[in-house]
Amino acid sequence: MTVPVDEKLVDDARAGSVEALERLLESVWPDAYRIAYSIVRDRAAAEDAAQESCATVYGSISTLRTAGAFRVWFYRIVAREALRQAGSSASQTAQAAEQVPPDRESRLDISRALDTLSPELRAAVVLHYYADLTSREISEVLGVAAPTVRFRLMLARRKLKPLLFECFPVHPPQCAKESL
Amino acid sequence: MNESLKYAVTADVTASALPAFDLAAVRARAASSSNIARPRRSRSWLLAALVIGIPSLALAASQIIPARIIWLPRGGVFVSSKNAHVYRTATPGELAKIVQGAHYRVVPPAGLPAGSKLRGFLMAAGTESFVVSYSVPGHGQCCFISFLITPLSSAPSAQSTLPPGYSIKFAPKGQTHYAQWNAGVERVTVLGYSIPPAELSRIRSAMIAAGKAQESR
Repeated sequence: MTVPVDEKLVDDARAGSVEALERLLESVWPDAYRIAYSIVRDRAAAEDAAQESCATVYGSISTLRTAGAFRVWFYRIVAREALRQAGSSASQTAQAAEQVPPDRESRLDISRALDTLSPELRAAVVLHYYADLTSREISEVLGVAAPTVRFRLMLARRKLKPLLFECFPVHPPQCAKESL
Repeated sequence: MNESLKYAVTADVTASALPAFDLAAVRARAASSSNIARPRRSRSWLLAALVIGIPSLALAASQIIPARIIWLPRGGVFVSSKNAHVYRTATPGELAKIVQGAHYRVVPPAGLPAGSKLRGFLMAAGTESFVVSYSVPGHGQCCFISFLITPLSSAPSAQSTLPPGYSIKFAPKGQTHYAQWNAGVERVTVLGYSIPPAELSRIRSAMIAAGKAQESR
Protein backbone atom coordinates (compact mmCIF):
# COMPACT_ATOMS: atom_id res chain seq x y z
CA MET A 1 0.00 0.00 0.00
CA THR A 2 1.34 3.42 -0.92
CA VAL A 3 1.72 6.36 1.42
CA PRO A 4 -1.36 8.62 1.31
CA VAL A 5 -0.78 12.00 -0.28
CA ASP A 6 -1.58 15.10 1.77
CA GLU A 7 -3.66 17.19 -0.60
CA LYS A 8 -3.13 20.34 1.43
CA LEU A 9 0.60 20.00 0.91
CA VAL A 10 -0.03 19.58 -2.81
CA ASP A 11 -2.21 22.68 -2.88
CA ASP A 12 0.36 24.71 -0.98
CA ALA A 13 3.12 23.46 -3.24
CA ARG A 14 1.07 24.36 -6.31
CA ALA A 15 0.57 27.80 -4.84
CA GLY A 16 4.33 28.25 -4.70
CA SER A 17 5.32 27.16 -1.21
CA VAL A 18 8.77 25.63 -1.46
CA GLU A 19 8.55 24.31 2.08
CA ALA A 20 5.32 22.47 1.30
CA LEU A 21 6.80 21.14 -1.91
CA GLU A 22 9.86 19.76 -0.16
CA ARG A 23 7.76 18.16 2.56
CA LEU A 24 5.53 16.68 -0.11
CA LEU A 25 8.51 15.24 -1.96
CA GLU A 26 9.87 13.76 1.23
CA SER A 27 6.52 12.12 1.93
CA VAL A 28 6.26 10.58 -1.52
CA TRP A 29 9.92 9.60 -1.73
CA PRO A 30 9.35 6.02 -0.46
CA ASP A 31 6.76 5.41 -3.18
CA ALA A 32 8.94 7.00 -5.82
CA TYR A 33 11.88 4.82 -4.93
CA ARG A 34 9.88 1.62 -4.49
CA ILE A 35 8.00 1.98 -7.74
CA ALA A 36 11.18 2.88 -9.57
CA TYR A 37 13.01 -0.05 -8.02
CA SER A 38 10.20 -2.43 -8.90
CA ILE A 39 10.56 -1.41 -12.51
CA VAL A 40 14.33 -1.13 -12.94
CA ARG A 41 15.34 -3.77 -10.30
CA ASP A 42 18.55 -1.93 -9.61
CA ARG A 43 19.11 0.14 -6.47
CA ALA A 44 21.32 2.83 -7.96
CA ALA A 45 19.17 3.23 -11.05
CA ALA A 46 16.03 3.32 -8.91
CA GLU A 47 17.42 6.02 -6.67
CA ASP A 48 18.49 7.97 -9.72
CA ALA A 49 15.04 7.64 -11.30
CA ALA A 50 13.29 8.60 -8.06
CA GLN A 51 15.49 11.66 -7.59
CA GLU A 52 14.99 12.67 -11.19
CA SER A 53 11.24 12.33 -10.76
CA CYS A 54 11.30 14.47 -7.62
CA ALA A 55 13.34 17.06 -9.46
CA THR A 56 10.79 17.05 -12.26
CA VAL A 57 8.02 17.60 -9.74
CA TYR A 58 10.12 20.36 -8.19
CA GLY A 59 10.20 22.19 -11.48
CA SER A 60 6.65 21.60 -12.66
CA ILE A 61 4.30 21.31 -9.70
CA SER A 62 2.65 24.57 -10.73
CA THR A 63 1.43 22.93 -13.94
CA LEU A 64 -0.65 20.42 -11.98
CA ARG A 65 -4.32 21.33 -12.29
CA THR A 66 -5.75 19.78 -9.15
CA ALA A 67 -4.35 18.31 -5.97
CA GLY A 68 -6.42 15.16 -6.53
CA ALA A 69 -4.54 14.48 -9.74
CA PHE A 70 -1.16 14.50 -8.03
CA ARG A 71 -0.92 10.78 -7.37
CA VAL A 72 -1.44 9.61 -10.93
CA TRP A 73 0.63 12.49 -12.28
CA PHE A 74 3.50 11.70 -9.96
CA TYR A 75 3.41 7.99 -10.70
CA ARG A 76 3.47 8.80 -14.38
CA ILE A 77 6.65 10.80 -13.92
CA VAL A 78 8.23 8.06 -11.83
CA ALA A 79 7.19 5.17 -14.06
CA ARG A 80 8.33 6.86 -17.24
CA GLU A 81 11.64 7.85 -15.73
CA ALA A 82 12.15 4.32 -14.44
CA LEU A 83 11.21 2.79 -17.77
CA ARG A 84 13.61 5.18 -19.46
CA GLN A 85 16.34 4.12 -17.07
CA ALA A 86 15.53 0.46 -17.60
CA GLY A 87 16.20 1.06 -21.29
CA SER A 88 17.93 -1.59 -23.25
CA SER A 89 18.93 -3.61 -20.19
CA ALA A 90 15.21 -4.24 -19.65
CA SER A 91 14.73 -5.82 -23.02
CA GLN A 92 17.81 -7.94 -22.41
CA THR A 93 16.31 -9.15 -19.16
CA ALA A 94 13.06 -9.93 -20.88
CA GLN A 95 14.86 -11.86 -23.60
CA ALA A 96 16.85 -13.79 -21.02
CA ALA A 97 13.67 -14.63 -19.20
CA GLU A 98 12.17 -16.00 -22.37
CA GLN A 99 15.21 -18.14 -23.09
CA VAL A 100 15.91 -19.51 -19.61
CA PRO A 101 12.82 -20.45 -17.65
CA PRO A 102 13.16 -20.04 -13.90
CA ASP A 103 14.08 -23.15 -12.01
CA ARG A 104 12.06 -24.62 -9.19
CA GLU A 105 13.89 -22.69 -6.49
CA SER A 106 13.45 -19.38 -8.16
CA ARG A 107 9.74 -20.10 -8.57
CA LEU A 108 9.47 -19.90 -4.81
CA ASP A 109 11.00 -16.48 -4.83
CA ILE A 110 8.53 -13.74 -5.77
CA SER A 111 11.33 -11.27 -6.16
CA ARG A 112 13.16 -13.40 -8.66
CA ALA A 113 9.90 -14.15 -10.38
CA LEU A 114 9.25 -10.46 -10.82
CA ASP A 115 12.76 -10.16 -12.20
CA THR A 116 11.73 -12.41 -15.06
CA LEU A 117 9.04 -9.99 -16.18
CA SER A 118 9.80 -7.18 -18.56
CA PRO A 119 9.91 -3.65 -17.04
CA GLU A 120 6.59 -2.86 -18.75
CA LEU A 121 4.89 -5.84 -17.15
CA ARG A 122 6.48 -5.09 -13.78
CA ALA A 123 5.31 -1.49 -14.03
CA ALA A 124 1.74 -2.64 -14.63
CA VAL A 125 1.95 -5.17 -11.78
CA VAL A 126 3.42 -2.79 -9.23
CA LEU A 127 1.06 0.04 -10.12
CA HIS A 128 -1.93 -2.25 -9.88
CA TYR A 129 -1.05 -4.41 -6.88
CA TYR A 130 1.10 -2.05 -4.87
CA ALA A 131 -0.19 1.40 -5.80
CA ASP A 132 -3.79 0.21 -6.14
CA LEU A 133 -4.36 1.96 -9.42
CA THR A 134 -7.12 0.90 -11.79
CA SER A 135 -6.28 -0.18 -15.32
CA ARG A 136 -7.55 3.17 -16.54
CA GLU A 137 -5.27 5.06 -14.17
CA ILE A 138 -2.36 2.84 -15.13
CA SER A 139 -3.08 3.56 -18.77
CA GLU A 140 -2.69 7.28 -17.96
CA VAL A 141 0.50 6.63 -16.05
CA LEU A 142 2.13 4.50 -18.71
CA GLY A 143 0.65 6.25 -21.71
CA VAL A 144 -0.90 3.11 -23.18
CA ALA A 145 -4.49 2.06 -23.74
CA ALA A 146 -6.45 0.51 -20.87
CA PRO A 147 -6.91 -2.80 -22.75
CA THR A 148 -3.13 -2.94 -23.14
CA VAL A 149 -2.78 -2.57 -19.39
CA ARG A 150 -5.29 -5.34 -18.79
CA PHE A 151 -3.45 -7.53 -21.27
CA ARG A 152 -0.14 -6.87 -19.54
CA LEU A 153 -1.66 -7.70 -16.17
CA MET A 154 -3.11 -10.90 -17.55
CA LEU A 155 0.25 -11.81 -19.04
CA ALA A 156 2.03 -11.09 -15.78
CA ARG A 157 -0.48 -13.13 -13.78
CA ARG A 158 -0.10 -16.00 -16.18
CA LYS A 159 3.67 -15.94 -15.72
CA LEU A 160 3.46 -15.62 -11.96
CA LYS A 161 0.60 -18.07 -11.42
CA PRO A 162 2.67 -21.24 -11.05
CA LEU A 163 4.83 -19.53 -8.47
CA LEU A 164 1.90 -18.21 -6.50
CA PHE A 165 0.16 -21.58 -6.56
CA GLU A 166 3.20 -23.20 -4.99
CA CYS A 167 3.91 -20.37 -2.65
CA PHE A 168 0.42 -19.66 -1.38
CA PRO A 169 -1.58 -22.89 -1.46
CA VAL A 170 -3.49 -22.18 1.74
CA HIS A 171 -2.42 -19.17 3.74
CA PRO A 172 -0.71 -16.51 1.67
CA PRO A 173 0.64 -14.15 4.36
CA GLN A 174 2.45 -16.86 6.31
CA CYS A 175 3.95 -18.43 3.25
CA ALA A 176 5.04 -15.09 1.92
CA LYS A 177 6.69 -14.22 5.18
CA GLU A 178 8.68 -17.42 5.05
CA SER A 179 9.77 -17.03 1.48
CA LEU A 180 10.74 -13.40 1.94
CA MET B 1 -4.96 -15.39 -6.83
CA ASN B 2 -5.33 -11.60 -6.89
CA GLU B 3 -5.05 -11.29 -3.12
CA SER B 4 -2.00 -13.54 -3.09
CA LEU B 5 -0.37 -11.57 -5.82
CA LYS B 6 -1.20 -8.27 -4.13
CA TYR B 7 0.34 -9.46 -0.91
CA ALA B 8 3.40 -10.87 -2.60
CA VAL B 9 4.03 -7.80 -4.71
CA THR B 10 3.51 -5.43 -1.80
CA ALA B 11 5.82 -7.50 0.36
CA ASP B 12 8.46 -7.55 -2.34
CA VAL B 13 8.22 -3.83 -3.02
CA THR B 14 8.38 -2.80 0.62
CA ALA B 15 11.13 -5.31 1.43
CA SER B 16 13.75 -3.42 -0.52
CA ALA B 17 15.92 -1.14 1.61
CA LEU B 18 14.86 2.46 1.30
CA PRO B 19 17.62 5.03 0.74
CA ALA B 20 17.31 8.32 2.60
CA PHE B 21 15.62 11.19 0.84
CA ASP B 22 18.39 13.45 -0.43
CA LEU B 23 16.79 16.87 -0.72
CA ALA B 24 20.03 18.55 -1.70
CA ALA B 25 20.41 16.20 -4.67
CA VAL B 26 16.84 16.84 -5.74
CA ARG B 27 17.34 20.59 -5.47
CA ALA B 28 20.52 20.36 -7.49
CA ARG B 29 18.82 18.35 -10.20
CA ALA B 30 15.86 20.71 -10.25
CA ALA B 31 18.19 23.66 -10.60
CA SER B 32 19.64 22.15 -13.72
CA SER B 33 17.57 23.30 -16.66
CA SER B 34 17.68 19.86 -18.22
CA ASN B 35 15.60 18.53 -15.38
CA ILE B 36 12.74 20.93 -15.63
CA ALA B 37 9.70 19.08 -16.87
CA ARG B 38 8.99 19.45 -20.52
CA PRO B 39 5.30 18.88 -21.15
CA ARG B 40 4.33 17.13 -24.35
CA ARG B 41 2.83 20.24 -25.74
CA SER B 42 5.99 22.28 -25.30
CA ARG B 43 6.80 22.28 -29.00
CA SER B 44 3.33 23.34 -29.98
CA TRP B 45 3.47 26.09 -27.37
CA LEU B 46 6.77 27.24 -28.75
CA LEU B 47 5.23 27.34 -32.21
CA ALA B 48 2.18 29.15 -30.87
CA ALA B 49 4.41 31.61 -29.09
CA LEU B 50 6.26 32.31 -32.33
CA VAL B 51 3.06 32.58 -34.32
CA ILE B 52 1.49 34.86 -31.76
CA GLY B 53 4.65 36.72 -30.97
CA ILE B 54 5.63 37.94 -34.42
CA PRO B 55 2.37 39.65 -35.37
CA SER B 56 1.67 40.83 -31.85
CA LEU B 57 5.02 42.56 -31.66
CA ALA B 58 4.40 44.23 -34.98
CA LEU B 59 0.92 45.24 -33.97
CA ALA B 60 1.90 46.41 -30.54
CA ALA B 61 4.57 48.54 -32.13
CA SER B 62 2.00 50.24 -34.30
CA GLN B 63 -0.25 50.74 -31.27
CA ILE B 64 -3.34 49.63 -33.10
CA ILE B 65 -4.57 46.94 -30.81
CA PRO B 66 -4.97 46.61 -27.05
CA ALA B 67 -2.02 44.69 -25.67
CA ARG B 68 -4.04 41.80 -24.34
CA ILE B 69 -5.81 40.88 -27.54
CA ILE B 70 -3.64 39.22 -30.09
CA TRP B 71 -4.85 38.68 -33.62
CA LEU B 72 -3.66 35.36 -34.89
CA PRO B 73 -2.31 35.09 -38.42
CA ARG B 74 -4.73 32.35 -39.34
CA GLY B 75 -7.72 34.28 -38.15
CA GLY B 76 -9.26 34.39 -34.75
CA VAL B 77 -8.28 36.16 -31.61
CA PHE B 78 -6.19 35.14 -28.67
CA VAL B 79 -7.47 37.00 -25.66
CA SER B 80 -5.19 36.86 -22.70
CA SER B 81 -5.99 38.12 -19.23
CA LYS B 82 -4.62 37.43 -15.79
CA ASN B 83 -6.94 34.50 -15.25
CA ALA B 84 -7.84 33.13 -18.64
CA HIS B 85 -6.64 32.62 -22.15
CA VAL B 86 -9.24 32.26 -24.83
CA TYR B 87 -8.88 31.49 -28.48
CA ARG B 88 -11.85 32.21 -30.68
CA THR B 89 -12.83 33.41 -34.10
CA ALA B 90 -12.95 37.18 -34.40
CA THR B 91 -16.36 38.79 -34.56
CA PRO B 92 -17.34 41.22 -37.32
CA GLY B 93 -17.35 43.97 -34.70
CA GLU B 94 -13.75 43.23 -33.81
CA LEU B 95 -12.82 43.22 -37.47
CA ALA B 96 -14.44 46.64 -37.82
CA LYS B 97 -12.39 47.91 -34.88
CA ILE B 98 -9.19 46.65 -36.46
CA VAL B 99 -10.13 48.30 -39.73
CA GLN B 100 -10.81 51.57 -37.91
CA GLY B 101 -7.61 51.34 -35.92
CA ALA B 102 -5.38 50.57 -38.89
CA HIS B 103 -2.89 53.30 -39.73
CA TYR B 104 -3.71 53.00 -43.39
CA ARG B 105 -6.97 52.96 -45.28
CA VAL B 106 -8.76 49.67 -45.42
CA VAL B 107 -11.90 48.95 -47.34
CA PRO B 108 -13.50 46.01 -45.61
CA PRO B 109 -15.51 43.50 -47.64
CA ALA B 110 -18.99 44.81 -48.31
CA GLY B 111 -22.08 43.64 -50.15
CA LEU B 112 -21.66 40.04 -49.14
CA PRO B 113 -24.70 37.77 -49.42
CA ALA B 114 -26.82 37.52 -46.28
CA GLY B 115 -25.62 34.84 -43.89
CA SER B 116 -21.96 35.18 -44.85
CA LYS B 117 -19.79 34.35 -41.90
CA LEU B 118 -16.43 35.80 -41.01
CA ARG B 119 -13.96 32.94 -40.84
CA GLY B 120 -10.74 34.72 -40.18
CA PHE B 121 -8.41 37.41 -41.25
CA LEU B 122 -4.74 37.88 -41.62
CA MET B 123 -2.89 41.09 -41.19
CA ALA B 124 0.08 40.40 -43.33
CA ALA B 125 3.09 42.48 -44.27
CA GLY B 126 3.35 43.92 -40.80
CA THR B 127 0.16 45.94 -40.73
CA GLU B 128 0.01 46.81 -44.37
CA SER B 129 -2.39 44.36 -45.87
CA PHE B 130 -5.47 42.45 -44.94
CA VAL B 131 -6.64 39.01 -45.90
CA VAL B 132 -10.19 38.34 -44.82
CA SER B 133 -12.02 35.08 -45.29
CA TYR B 134 -15.75 34.51 -45.32
CA SER B 135 -17.86 31.48 -45.88
CA VAL B 136 -20.81 32.27 -48.05
CA PRO B 137 -23.93 30.17 -47.56
CA GLY B 138 -25.14 27.96 -50.36
CA HIS B 139 -21.82 27.63 -52.07
CA GLY B 140 -20.29 24.64 -50.37
CA GLN B 141 -17.26 24.32 -48.19
CA CYS B 142 -14.85 25.63 -50.77
CA CYS B 143 -16.69 28.90 -50.85
CA PHE B 144 -14.22 30.98 -48.95
CA ILE B 145 -13.43 34.38 -50.30
CA SER B 146 -10.16 36.00 -49.44
CA PHE B 147 -9.95 39.69 -49.84
CA LEU B 148 -6.48 41.00 -50.03
CA ILE B 149 -6.56 44.71 -49.60
CA THR B 150 -3.19 46.12 -50.43
CA PRO B 151 -2.73 49.55 -48.93
CA LEU B 152 -1.23 51.34 -51.88
CA SER B 153 -1.54 54.53 -49.88
CA SER B 154 0.98 53.39 -47.33
CA ALA B 155 3.16 51.19 -49.53
CA PRO B 156 3.77 53.12 -52.74
CA SER B 157 6.66 50.99 -53.88
CA ALA B 158 6.28 47.43 -54.97
CA GLN B 159 9.06 46.43 -52.62
CA SER B 160 7.92 43.83 -50.12
CA THR B 161 7.86 44.86 -46.51
CA LEU B 162 7.04 41.41 -45.28
CA PRO B 163 8.74 40.35 -42.07
CA PRO B 164 10.95 37.25 -42.28
CA GLY B 165 8.94 34.08 -42.68
CA TYR B 166 5.94 35.70 -44.33
CA SER B 167 5.06 35.56 -47.96
CA ILE B 168 2.01 36.42 -49.97
CA LYS B 169 1.41 34.45 -53.13
CA PHE B 170 -0.85 35.98 -55.68
CA ALA B 171 -2.87 33.69 -57.87
CA PRO B 172 -1.80 33.69 -61.51
CA LYS B 173 -3.95 35.96 -63.60
CA GLY B 174 -5.09 33.08 -65.74
CA GLN B 175 -6.64 31.29 -62.81
CA THR B 176 -10.39 30.88 -63.00
CA HIS B 177 -11.19 31.95 -59.47
CA TYR B 178 -9.46 35.25 -59.46
CA ALA B 179 -10.76 38.81 -59.54
CA GLN B 180 -9.32 42.23 -58.88
CA TRP B 181 -10.58 45.76 -58.60
CA ASN B 182 -9.65 49.04 -56.99
CA ALA B 183 -11.60 50.30 -54.02
CA GLY B 184 -10.50 53.82 -53.34
CA VAL B 185 -6.74 53.74 -53.23
CA GLU B 186 -6.62 50.08 -52.32
CA ARG B 187 -6.24 47.09 -54.58
CA VAL B 188 -8.63 44.29 -53.80
CA THR B 189 -7.90 40.77 -54.90
CA VAL B 190 -10.40 37.99 -54.49
CA LEU B 191 -9.00 34.49 -54.51
CA GLY B 192 -10.61 31.10 -54.65
CA TYR B 193 -14.18 32.25 -54.80
CA SER B 194 -16.98 30.12 -56.12
CA ILE B 195 -19.88 32.45 -55.82
CA PRO B 196 -21.88 33.41 -58.92
CA PRO B 197 -20.63 36.33 -61.02
CA ALA B 198 -23.71 38.36 -60.15
CA GLU B 199 -22.92 38.12 -56.44
CA LEU B 200 -19.29 38.96 -57.06
CA SER B 201 -20.32 41.96 -59.09
CA ARG B 202 -22.50 43.15 -56.20
CA ILE B 203 -19.57 42.84 -53.78
CA ARG B 204 -17.32 44.66 -56.21
CA SER B 205 -19.78 47.56 -56.57
CA ALA B 206 -20.30 47.80 -52.81
CA MET B 207 -16.58 47.89 -52.12
CA ILE B 208 -15.87 50.44 -54.83
CA ALA B 209 -18.63 52.63 -53.42
CA ALA B 210 -17.23 52.22 -49.90
CA GLY B 211 -13.78 53.17 -51.19
CA LYS B 212 -15.14 56.31 -52.83
CA ALA B 213 -16.96 57.27 -49.67
CA GLN B 214 -13.78 56.80 -47.70
CA GLU B 215 -11.83 59.01 -50.07
CA SER B 216 -14.38 61.78 -49.88
CA ARG B 217 -14.12 61.97 -46.07
